[in-house]
Amino acid sequence: MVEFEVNSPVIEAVGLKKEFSVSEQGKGFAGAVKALFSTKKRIVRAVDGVGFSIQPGEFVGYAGENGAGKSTTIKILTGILVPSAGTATVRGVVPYRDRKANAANIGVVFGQRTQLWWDLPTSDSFEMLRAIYRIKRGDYADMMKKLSDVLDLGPLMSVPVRKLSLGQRMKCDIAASLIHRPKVLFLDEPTIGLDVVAKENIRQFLGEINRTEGTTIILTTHDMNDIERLCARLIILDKGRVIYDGLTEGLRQRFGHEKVLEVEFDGRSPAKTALPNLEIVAENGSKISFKYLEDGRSGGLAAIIGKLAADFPVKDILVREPSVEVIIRSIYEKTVSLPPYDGQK
Amino acid sequence: MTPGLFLKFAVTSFRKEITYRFDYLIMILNGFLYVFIFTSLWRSVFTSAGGTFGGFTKEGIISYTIVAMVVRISFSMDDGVIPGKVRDGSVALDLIRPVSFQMMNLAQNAGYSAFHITARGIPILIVSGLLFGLHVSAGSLPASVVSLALSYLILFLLNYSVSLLSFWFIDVFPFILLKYGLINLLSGGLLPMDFFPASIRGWLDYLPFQHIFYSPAVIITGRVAPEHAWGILASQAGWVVALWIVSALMWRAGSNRLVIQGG
Amino acid sequence: MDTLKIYAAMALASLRARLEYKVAFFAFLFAVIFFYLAQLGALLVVMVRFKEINGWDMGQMAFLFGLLTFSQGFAALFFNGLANFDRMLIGGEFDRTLVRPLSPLAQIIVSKFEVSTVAHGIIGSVALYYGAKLSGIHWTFWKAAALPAVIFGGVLIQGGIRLAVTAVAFWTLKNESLVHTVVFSGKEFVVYPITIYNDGIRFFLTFIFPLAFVNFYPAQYFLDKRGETLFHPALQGLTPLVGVIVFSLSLWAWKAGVDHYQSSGS
Repeated sequence: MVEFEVNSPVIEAVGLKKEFSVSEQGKGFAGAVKALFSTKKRIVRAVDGVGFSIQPGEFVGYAGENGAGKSTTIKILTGILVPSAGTATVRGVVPYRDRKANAANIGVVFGQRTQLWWDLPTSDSFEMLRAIYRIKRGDYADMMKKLSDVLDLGPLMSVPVRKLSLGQRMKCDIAASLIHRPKVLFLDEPTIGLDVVAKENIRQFLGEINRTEGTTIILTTHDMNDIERLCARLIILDKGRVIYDGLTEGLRQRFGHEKVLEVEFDGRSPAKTALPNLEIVAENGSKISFKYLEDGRSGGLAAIIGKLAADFPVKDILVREPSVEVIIRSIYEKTVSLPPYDGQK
Repeated sequence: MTPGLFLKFAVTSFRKEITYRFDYLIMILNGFLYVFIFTSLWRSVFTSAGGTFGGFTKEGIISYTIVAMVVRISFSMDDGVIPGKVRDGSVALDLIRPVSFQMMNLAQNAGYSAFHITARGIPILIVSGLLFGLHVSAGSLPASVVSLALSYLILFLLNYSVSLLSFWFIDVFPFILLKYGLINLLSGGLLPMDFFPASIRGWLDYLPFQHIFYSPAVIITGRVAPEHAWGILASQAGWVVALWIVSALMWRAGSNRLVIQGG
Repeated sequence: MDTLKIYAAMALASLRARLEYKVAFFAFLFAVIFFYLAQLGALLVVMVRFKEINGWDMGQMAFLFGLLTFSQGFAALFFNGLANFDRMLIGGEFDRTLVRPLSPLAQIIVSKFEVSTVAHGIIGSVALYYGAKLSGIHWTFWKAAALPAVIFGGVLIQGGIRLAVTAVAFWTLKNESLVHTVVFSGKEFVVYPITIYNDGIRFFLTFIFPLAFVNFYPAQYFLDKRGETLFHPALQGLTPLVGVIVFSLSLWAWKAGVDHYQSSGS
């Protein structure tokens, strides 16, 4: 086994590629019949030259639309898939070559599928994992206590997993993936389907684990609030390529020129033609939201507000920064274009 | 339910079945395998027994086996649909649909079976007929068609009734297995009723099972002459009516139970 | 040793999970036994009417059936975790086994406890006992010693076939019908003495899909049926060897499947 050095990156991916072949089926009845005899295949490149390096203790958001290659990259890093080209190491171990050694180093949570024993009391699952990861009794008791204290697992332990709510189960699933104190934790959609309170609990806990245990966490999610709250760094994938790798806050600074101006009028609201430079994005009674582009052409925010207040009875004005979600959506919708990604942060 | 709607349900389930090419080829093989095993068995024991036995000639029993097996393969139905719907609660959606649940299920099963008839039954029938020799009675054609339709309804209603037990039991798989055990032994799909000892056969006349595969097979192969087929058709029709009433009552009781208890 | 303990704990957990539903457990057990008894009933009707099948009488047929079902029970005990493997693969449960520091195959094997194992064990041992009794086997030291070896070989053959067929799912994703055909329908061939089939099928069941070694050839040995040697009399003693060969080939096929999945799976 390779001795792992503290100061080197914990995850290193270089030029990862992964190709799949998919068979095609036409539509309708005729298509189904035709598929019986044809073997038309198409090569799909799910991951197309992905590279990044992650330092110990980082909390990285891994975002992208469905099919952008997020899950495939995670599957390569967890040793499930072998890349078609490129290399990856996790704590110095090549996951797909030395699967078991890598498995002992990492924790994995697949949001939609539980790793717990469905029909047995929750505590049994933890006992099983203690055996599987060969954890010493003392270490196990310490970690178990820590996890239960923070996540309040106590009352759940005697309940069969199938009777847990989705939020409770996710708490247990995350705890289960941490019981062997992995240095790296992969989370695939951990907040999917959860209500607001449960999401918040999970986020708090993940932040705390990252801080106190120094666990490196890679989080894939559709919920940009997760990323905004937790991940200092963000990697965005599109069509199998990295299109952004840098600070989450940096994304906002670079692309957050678009602000939303929410104005509440007292009674009479202006006719649309009266505001030629402002695009209306939402209208709700006397409340109108405008899109404001900070490009110097609209004449500055102060001037616009002054003009609005002078011409119309304004009751309230709110200026909103765009959320990361809005920015990413506009990247996908090509309303914001990124400069070609050069591999530098 | 309008014929158009019936057809739509049927086509949808037909399409679902054809999606997996590899599975389809294997299913043909599976059906043919049983025909092969049992024709080999009868050829062997009939040869030892001197060529005729229990009213069958060697050619007769082989024709019977091919027909009974092909009907059995063609009449495949999906047992898991209703229990699955009850378990995940989606049966509630069917309750508010303006179509009869029973007819809708019949339509879906008809599509499922239409696939198995055209894609498995007919190829297996042709290959088996060419390989092992098949003799059918041309004069029995009208009676054969009626008998097949009735036997399809009997099998459907049995399956449907057992599926409806899922309103009362969490797991109906044991009941499905029991049903398959009874059908395998008593329906004539594996061996004709003529081979049962006379004492047992008397009892079997009180059960619907022999009308599933035995009755159509003896009519199609001409073991029962066309002019004597009507009695068999009458008892098949009687069983259809009886089972239809039973399953309708079960559906009413079961869906009431669902509405009252809220699933 | 340590690793074995982990697997034993996982197997025990599967059994406990199954026993969480006690009523379902026993209802299923009852239904499976009934299902096989109905199948045996059909065989009984044939035997009562025809007295023998190609020279095999009632007791000999029972012994033939017993050898098959008994080893099938053991094979099911170890390999029924593979049932519905295609669903595990599509649903992503197989991925879960890959992110744990254990063998994926071993994890799958211990992931399920199959109730029908118990049914096979009961029916198989009863059939074996009465078959041996009815057919008046002349027990010698060698025959008594050969019985466990034959069961062992039979388990390896049936388990190996199951493993190989399951591995096909790595390429085709859906293989439910294949498993059903090869594992469940395939063994229908050897419920009867394979001498009732044509030469092609006899050859097939001996050298290509060697199920005949599970019961037919060893039964010839136990029952001293020397008059109807098929191919070569030495085949009657080859069951354990065939078992080892089949199982090794299957393990190799499984490993090739896992490799294929990891390099091209989605």
